[in-house]
Amino acid sequence: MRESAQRTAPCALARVAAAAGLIALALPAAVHAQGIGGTLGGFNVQRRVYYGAVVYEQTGLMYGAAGSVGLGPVLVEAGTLMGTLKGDGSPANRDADVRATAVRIQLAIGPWTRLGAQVEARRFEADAGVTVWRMIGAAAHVEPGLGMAGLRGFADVSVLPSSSVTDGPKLKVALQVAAGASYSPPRSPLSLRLGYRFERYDIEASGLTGERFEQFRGIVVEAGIGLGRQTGRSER
Amino acid sequence: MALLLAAALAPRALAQGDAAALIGRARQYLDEFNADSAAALLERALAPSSQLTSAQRVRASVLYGVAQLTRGNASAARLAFRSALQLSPTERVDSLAFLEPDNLLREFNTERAAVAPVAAAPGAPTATARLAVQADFPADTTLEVSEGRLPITPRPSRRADAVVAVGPADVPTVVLWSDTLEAGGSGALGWNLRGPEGALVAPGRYALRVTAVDSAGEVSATIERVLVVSRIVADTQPLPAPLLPSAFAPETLLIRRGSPGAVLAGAGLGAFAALLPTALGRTELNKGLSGDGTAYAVAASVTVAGLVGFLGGHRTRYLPENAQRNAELRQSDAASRAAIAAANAQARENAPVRVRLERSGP
Repeated sequence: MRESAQRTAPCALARVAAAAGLIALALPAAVHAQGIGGTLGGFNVQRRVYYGAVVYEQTGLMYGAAGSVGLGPVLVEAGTLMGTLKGDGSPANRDADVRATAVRIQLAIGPWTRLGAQVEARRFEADAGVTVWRMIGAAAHVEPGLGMAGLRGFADVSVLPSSSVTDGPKLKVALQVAAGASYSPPRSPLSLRLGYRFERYDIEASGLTGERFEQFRGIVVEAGIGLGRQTGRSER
Repeated sequence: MALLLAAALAPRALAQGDAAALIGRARQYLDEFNADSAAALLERALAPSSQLTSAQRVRASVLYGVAQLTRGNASAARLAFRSALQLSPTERVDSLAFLEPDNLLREFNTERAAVAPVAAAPGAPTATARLAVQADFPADTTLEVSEGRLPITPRPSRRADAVVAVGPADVPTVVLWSDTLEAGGSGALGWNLRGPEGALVAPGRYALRVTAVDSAGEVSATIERVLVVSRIVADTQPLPAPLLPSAFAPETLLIRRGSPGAVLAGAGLGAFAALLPTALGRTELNKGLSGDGTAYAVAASVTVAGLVGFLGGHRTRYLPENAQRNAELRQSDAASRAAIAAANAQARENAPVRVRLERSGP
């Protein structure tokens, strides 16, 4: 397990570097973009893992940042989230450092609806070694207005069927869902966002290891700044 | 090409060398039967500001007369020939006869007879008085554009034809209009204030020249008066002031409540958040757990946000009947302005013309 993780770590780093490179390449375009934005946020995570008929639980705060560039109807978002999830200290449930890096490209198909693709790498580092998940799939975003200028609801759904553990088994189910509300004061570039995030991953059995189910859930709080017109948002 | 050349040379006075070149070039145009271009060059050469020698002026006047004959403007041709003969009474044009074989010699010799002093027949009584001419016309009058005519009544000192010509005051060789009152005729000639092409002359100064020629060929001295032509300011209507915003009805109605859909959206998203762990979570992971309190907290927040949005928000409703009425008002205003503008343009076009005699002194 550790050897496998060690082999895959450079690959994950390469992918993160590639994502960063993509963002860097997109920065000149941001000069001409219709809108650019950035957020800082935290995810108060409860991670639960079912393996061998036992449920292990870890909790912790993941924090991170994301940036976005709107080019006409296209919105490109990239972000990272990292933190330490603490287990109960037993050999089977040690603390784990988690880092998730995702890039999402979406196309506005309505005043408050976007569809697109998502690529994400999630790295787990514990005493037992390093594990990297690679997830690719579709993402949808709806953001209806809630009747008052700047007040909006939102729901994000990402279905990531082409997912696997690096050099390991496939993820039978990889699903990320979030819902909540956001508020941008009128004539202000600032925004606040409160949501509930739920993630589910079903990892198929491989060799001698049985099936493994994981879920991440918790409150997400973000503060952001946006300049220019934000793609896929209707003005009210 | 020649017209362009003439236009290019127009702004400055011509030196003798330039004038000689122009006259030579005009002569070439006459050989090429291009009388219009020749006339254009010669008009520049004969301009009062040109520094021509006497010989050059005679040559240019003769060629200009030939050009005008070719163009069918006999009056202008005779004036040009007369100018040449007054400077050089023995001038001959036989070598140019091939350019205008039908008329040149006849017209030129007619003018020669008119300019030359009349030889008294042996034994005949000597004329007691030279032929003279006067002209009567209004010193200051206003004429309608469409049918107005400036009445000009020539009065020779004795029975003679009277030739009246009008041209730009600063280009003596150009004749815009001319007419002849036959000997013994009465009444007035009428200038319709238009040039040879029928267009109303531009405001400016024009020379009125009157000459009498009797049956014996004696020509009177030409009298010249300067007429100032100007347009009377038309009586136009002012355009109405632009429509004020208050003239338009509001095209949207502000409703001081958010859309009921906001409540539904907030409640829907709240319920979605609250149900996420149950709906999407695996039983193996959530068995024995009560619901996720954080999910409920977020669900409640989103639901409240929807309510706040509904109660504190506002929306607008489009009022198509007002928009239609405003569009009709704009169209009506535009049509009214266009009609006034057209009427004003018509009034300016038809504005009367004032013609007054320019006094030479105070």
